[in-house]
Amino acid sequence: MFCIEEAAQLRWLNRKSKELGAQTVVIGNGSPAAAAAFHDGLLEGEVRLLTDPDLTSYKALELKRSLFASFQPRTFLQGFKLSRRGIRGTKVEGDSLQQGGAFVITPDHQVPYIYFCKRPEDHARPEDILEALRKIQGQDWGWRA
Amino acid sequence: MGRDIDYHWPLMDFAYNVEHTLSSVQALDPDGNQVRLGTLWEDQPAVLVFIREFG
Repeated sequence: MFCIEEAAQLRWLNRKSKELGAQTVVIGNGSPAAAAAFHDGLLEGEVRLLTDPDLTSYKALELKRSLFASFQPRTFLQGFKLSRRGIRGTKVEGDSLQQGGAFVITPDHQVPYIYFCKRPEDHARPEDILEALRKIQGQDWGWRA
Repeated sequence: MGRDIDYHWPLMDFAYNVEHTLSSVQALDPDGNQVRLGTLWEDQPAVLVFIREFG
């Protein structure tokens, strides 16, 4: 359910990040078939999507994975609020215990933005990501060529 | 490189590890083709958003 709301934010982030010269890539952890359905459905085909079914990248980044983080009372409360707004969940594909995160990485190997999600309804603020992109906007990445 | 980014230890160390560790990881596109994550930020900054599930 939270991914439905997050997907709308991701589409907006993708459009804004392109304006700032960056590409947004969403990484999930279901099967490629589930990724295709998510890409064509909730992401409306707009955002580049990859999947890491083995969770290799999640483990490398030490993104939180826990039962406690996934099923806190506030998570159910947020789900209830979303359902009251008419936002319903769809079939879940992937690891429900796994939390996400967001990172900005530049061609010269810097990482100006890092965010670890603490709970299912906790997402990186797109405005903060765009602010990090604005700080590096206009830099010439061609020196690597 | 004189970038306008404030890092503080141990975040700077972690940031280096993020890029270094992720660059060799292989993910799959929706068609099942392998994509090395390091290619995503070769030519332009990349915003990587890790989501917890599809749906």
